[in-house]
Amino acid sequence: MLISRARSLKGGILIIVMFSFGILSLTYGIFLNVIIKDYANSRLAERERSAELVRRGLVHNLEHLIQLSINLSRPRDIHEAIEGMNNDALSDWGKAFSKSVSSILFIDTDGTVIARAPDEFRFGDSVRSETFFRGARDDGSFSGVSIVEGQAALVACYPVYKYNDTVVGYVSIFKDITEKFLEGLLPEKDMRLSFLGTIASTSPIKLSPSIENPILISVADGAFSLSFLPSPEYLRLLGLQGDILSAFAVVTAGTIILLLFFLNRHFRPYTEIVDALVDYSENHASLEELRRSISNTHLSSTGEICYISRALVKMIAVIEEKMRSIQSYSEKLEFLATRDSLTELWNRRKMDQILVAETNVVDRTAGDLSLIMVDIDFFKRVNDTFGHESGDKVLLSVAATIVDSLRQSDEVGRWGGEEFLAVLPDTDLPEAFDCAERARKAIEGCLLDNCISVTASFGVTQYRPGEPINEFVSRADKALYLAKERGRNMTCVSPS
Amino acid sequence: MGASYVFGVLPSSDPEKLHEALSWLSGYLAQATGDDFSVVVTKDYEELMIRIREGSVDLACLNTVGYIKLRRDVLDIKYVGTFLEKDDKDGSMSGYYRSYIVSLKDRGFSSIKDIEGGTFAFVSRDSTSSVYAKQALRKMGIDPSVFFGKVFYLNRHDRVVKSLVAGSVDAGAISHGMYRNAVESFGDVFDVLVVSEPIPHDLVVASRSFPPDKVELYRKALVQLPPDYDGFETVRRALGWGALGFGVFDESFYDRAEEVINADI
Repeated sequence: MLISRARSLKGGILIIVMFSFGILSLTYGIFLNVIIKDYANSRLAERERSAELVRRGLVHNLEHLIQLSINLSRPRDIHEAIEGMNNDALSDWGKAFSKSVSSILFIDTDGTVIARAPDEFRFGDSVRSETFFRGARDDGSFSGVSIVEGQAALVACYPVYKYNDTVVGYVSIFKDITEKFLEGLLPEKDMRLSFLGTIASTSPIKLSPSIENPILISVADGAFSLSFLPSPEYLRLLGLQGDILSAFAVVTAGTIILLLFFLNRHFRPYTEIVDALVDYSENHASLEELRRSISNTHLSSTGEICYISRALVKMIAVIEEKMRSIQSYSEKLEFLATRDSLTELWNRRKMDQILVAETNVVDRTAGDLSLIMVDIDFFKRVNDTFGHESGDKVLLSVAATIVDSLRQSDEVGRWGGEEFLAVLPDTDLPEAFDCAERARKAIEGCLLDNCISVTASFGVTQYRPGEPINEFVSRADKALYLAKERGRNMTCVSPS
Repeated sequence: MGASYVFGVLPSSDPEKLHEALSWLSGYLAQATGDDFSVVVTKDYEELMIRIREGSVDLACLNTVGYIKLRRDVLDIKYVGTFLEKDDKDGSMSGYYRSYIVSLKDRGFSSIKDIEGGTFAFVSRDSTSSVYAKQALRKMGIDPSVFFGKVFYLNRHDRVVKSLVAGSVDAGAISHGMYRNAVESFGDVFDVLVVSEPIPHDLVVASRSFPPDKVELYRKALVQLPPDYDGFETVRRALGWGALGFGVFDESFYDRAEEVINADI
């Protein structure tokens, strides 16, 4: 609970602050965006008006060419000059009318240029394959955009008639689509008109109406692109939007950093306590370590957290004390439950548990396990002769001798009145026999109060994996019985 | 105080140069006769003919074709004198010049036959040089209207030269005086493919509006012009003509020209 409370409080504060900043930023952003959108819409409308003016300018120029070509096709002098291949006369006519256009061509019916103005000494070439000539020849007249000798131009080509019904040639008038010409069509300086090509030769381009995209203008088979220089006002608005966003970003980042610094500083002791408690609850730390951690927090903090940590340290000290008492009681209880009260060897209950545990190990690992059952010879006689107190001393002495004769890994317990049982892990029958003999000889050589000497009989057997424990013990008991029968103070083996 | 007369000139070359070249002549005549002159370069042959007929031009400098036509159509014109030129071969003074058919050297034509189906430029249908050039071609069995792909009429000798240089035509017919002028301007870039027979030089005539009793006075004034007169140098520089004086010939001088011109018609 403390964990989630400490962390959620920090997170909550962060979320509230971030949310406030978010709302504020969003409001400003939306407000500015509306302004920019309004401005962009007005610019779009203005661009459309400009595009319409440019389109009209192009159409007007083309109409001027058409009218001029019609006018020049009418004079009798011209049709006579074309018929007479009179270059000079046609050049004069061309020069007189070429001031407002780029060039004027007088062409015979074969498509040969008879005269060209203003370039009067360039003639005799053929325009038979040019679009404008074919258009005029096949359709009666041509007006549109054509690319001649690599130069795009507005072109009007009109036939010259004799007797009003016989075509003797053509007048073709060009207005080159140059940078200067295109510039002259622009209503304002902050835009640029460029020629893309004839519609037939230009890939279809679709541009969405946007303040950044140019506007496509199609006039008489010609495709033009009207692009606009970025408006200073629009750029300023975009810049302002960027500045505000940057300022918000900086202020937000700064606030978050300061807030995190403050929260971390303020919540660090809480977090440390919480982390120490979590570690303890998940068994990653001991109660001592928990106490040490909280003590450190207590030393390094002030105010509320200082009181909390001090209380926790005291509480842990009490718990430690109680734990120590419980541990002590527990150890005593366990001793009483598992030890023989006289010899302090394992009692029979504990020996049963050891047998279960060790046979399980051998069943799993297929190792060796042997059992030695010991019984003091003629113990009743000792009791009867020297009294029970001496009998108890004999029992203590025999028990100590057995323990001393066996290995530290061997488990020895009091099995009955004067009977002892030894469980020998990792020990086969011959080794167990040797151990039993070593203990027997030690008991035999032992003299109590300079007058009491006892012997003991030993029965030894080895565990058969999987056999019931009572059978295992029974075989040791049988071997002991055999030793008793054969005269005592000896070790007999029950075959495994 | 003398009378005022209009001196008409055919536009056989650049009008400005013509005006410059022939202003000296009217100036000389004004000095010699006490009359006053203004020079008019007409738009074309037709205009000069009309103006001589109607009398809005009193004196005219024209070519042989114009003179033959005038002599045939307008009875009351008066022959005054013919330009003389030093013959290139023997250095004598002559009333003849020639027409050259030329092409650019870098086009690589070795003969007029190489230009079959090509483009050709004449000065005009009424240009004596053109008429004699056509006559020379006919002598070679060439009918220009059929032999060439396209035939252009450029009205002036200098325009023929400029069109040749611009590469607009394969060949063109010009007077040999204009040829000399072209070589001076553009260098030795021309090949002469055909040379015509001698052509009577341009001449001065008086229209019916000009007092008949003054014709002899003017004729004498022209004949008395010395070859080293500054005006001839002006003509040579402006038009390329090698004119060095005036001569007076009888009517038979133009008979051969009439034959050639009639054959052309």
